[in-house]
Amino acid sequence: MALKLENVSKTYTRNGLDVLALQEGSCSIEPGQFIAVCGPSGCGKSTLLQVSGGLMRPDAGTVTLDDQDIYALSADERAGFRGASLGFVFQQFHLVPYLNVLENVLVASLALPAKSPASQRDARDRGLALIDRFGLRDRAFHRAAQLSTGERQRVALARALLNEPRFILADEPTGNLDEANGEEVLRHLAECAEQGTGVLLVTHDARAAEVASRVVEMEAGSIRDEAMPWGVA
Amino acid sequence: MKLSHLVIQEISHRRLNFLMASLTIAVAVACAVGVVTLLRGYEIHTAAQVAALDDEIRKITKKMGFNVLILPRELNLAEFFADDFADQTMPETHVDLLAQSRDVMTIQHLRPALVRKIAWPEQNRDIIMMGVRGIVPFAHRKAKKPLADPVPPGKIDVGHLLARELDLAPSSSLTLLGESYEVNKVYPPRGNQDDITVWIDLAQAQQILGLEGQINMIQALECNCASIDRLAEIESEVSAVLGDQVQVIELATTAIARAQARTRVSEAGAATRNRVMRLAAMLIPMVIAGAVVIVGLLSLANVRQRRPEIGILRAVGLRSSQILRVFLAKAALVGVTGAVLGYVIGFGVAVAIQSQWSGDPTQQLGLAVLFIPVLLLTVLLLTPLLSVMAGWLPALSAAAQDPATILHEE
Ligand SMILES: Nc1ncnc2c1ncn2[C@@H]1O[C@H](COP(=O)(O)OP(=O)(O)O)[C@@H](O)[C@H]1O
Ligand SMILES: [Mg+2]
Repeated sequence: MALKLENVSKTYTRNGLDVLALQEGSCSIEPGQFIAVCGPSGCGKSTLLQVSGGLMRPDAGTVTLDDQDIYALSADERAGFRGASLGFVFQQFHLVPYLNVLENVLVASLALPAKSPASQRDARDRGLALIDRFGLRDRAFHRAAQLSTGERQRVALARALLNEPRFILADEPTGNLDEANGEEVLRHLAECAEQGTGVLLVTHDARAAEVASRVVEMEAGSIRDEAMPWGVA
Repeated sequence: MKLSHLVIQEISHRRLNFLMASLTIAVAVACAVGVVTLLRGYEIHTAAQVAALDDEIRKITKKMGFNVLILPRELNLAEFFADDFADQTMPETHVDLLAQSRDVMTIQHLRPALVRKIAWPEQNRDIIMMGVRGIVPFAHRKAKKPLADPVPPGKIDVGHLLARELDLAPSSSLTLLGESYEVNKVYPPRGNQDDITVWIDLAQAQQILGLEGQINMIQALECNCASIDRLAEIESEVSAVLGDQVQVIELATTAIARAQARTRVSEAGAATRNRVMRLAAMLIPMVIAGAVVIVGLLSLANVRQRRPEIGILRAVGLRSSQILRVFLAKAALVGVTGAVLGYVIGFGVAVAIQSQWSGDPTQQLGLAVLFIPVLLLTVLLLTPLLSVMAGWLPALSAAAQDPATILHEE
């Protein structure tokens, strides 16, 4: 049931120079857990999140979900896996500018194979419920540009949750938000974890430690997970 | 929500990109449709002009009668219509020789005649009597509608002036040189000696004049195929058959002028058409190629602009084939819009240009004559295909975008 990273490494090459962004990192997350990976900017948090989420193949090591190596899948199978099992939240929200709030949430349903009218109605109902839950009921038919940053991030969170994923991967979700909105987003993430979703939050926001069930420190590409014996770099 | 929703919403959000791409396609389509429609109109226009001239030629020829005379060599032209009229005759068989010949191309409607100015004792006046038989058909040509009918024996055709002065009408009777005839036909005024002429059966005339088997003219109509020096050409053809026993004279008529005009119009029409076709054959592919390049670049700009969107769609789980479909569907819609718009513009411009022509054929025949169903069908099918081809590479590049790179960029 766990999403597991074992000895993953990732090196970028820029202008002929190698940047070691992730160094034999290991970490594991179970549904219902809320892990916060904290560390200074540039330490490799985003790299860790993308490798975990099947968005970027590591140079070495494996990422497995239920013992299935996700990088052994084809690109399309991996996309299907992301659509069904993962939800992403980013610092920049990444809403589709020409869609309204509800449509932005429903974008996630495009990844699901079943397109029967019943499943479409289902998705719409779930979307509306999430919009309601995040206090966006009046905003359902507004465009992203008409929303405040806090509202945008809650739309992104609703989109991440639409397909009822087992894990949410959040990259600095509070980075562009004021204090109150940041806290609200963290609270929602904690709520998700309570309801059984695994949450992997990478951030340099110190408040994350208050809501997470476990905090993992990261520094210069090394991840120090006290709970995992092999995770010590 | 469906994928098509993304396509429609994006188009309505970024109208300028869609509009520019569609307009580019529309311009290319309008050029092609305009030229083809104009050519169609031009063809109809030329055909109408030629038909009008043909009609005029037929009318004039009918009124003027024949315009080439083949006469005995010794006949003095000055005496032709003089008092004692020409004595010289030639054998009636000449006409058969001409009709049998394969070399005589420039004349048609051969009609042998024996003509004399005679006194009409019963009416105490001079008239021209012409013995005629029907048109002698050429042995080696397609039969034509005869330009003149024979006069049956015992009947008589009467020129306009005589009929008026003597109060003659078809089926009234008259006596000429002791013989009585029934009036067969009365001719409309022609403004020449025909107006004081009577026509009777050739054999009867030969008998009256004691000139059995003799004629003194062959009337003919020159065809429209002769060159500028037509008379010399006709003469050489005729003398190839009959030697130097005959001479050919040409009666200048309006029909010749019209016939020349007709030739000019249809030749100029074909020449202009060929010129335009050659120009179009060069221009249209160039315009289309230009449109494909521009639409390709606009698609590429669109892909660039939509990188963040592509990144998040991929992260959310859309397969790259879905991204490809989103961009290709847009390209197809650009093509359909451009095709419809371009067809309407091209057709409209062609119609507007034609309305400036004198004798615009659409005024009489309606706009429908310019409508070419195959053209519309081709445009509607081919344009979206072309647009999809133009958007193919940009769409492929969109589908190949790496979501991690895009999402990490910001
Ligand atoms: N595409 C890239 N090419 C080259 N270097 C990169 C790229 N992405 C990130 N890096 C480098 O890798 C390191 C880790 O980056 P990142 O994972 O974004 O860290 P964080 O999210 O903790 O700020 C940084 O030094 C960064 O400059
Ligand atoms: Mg980062």
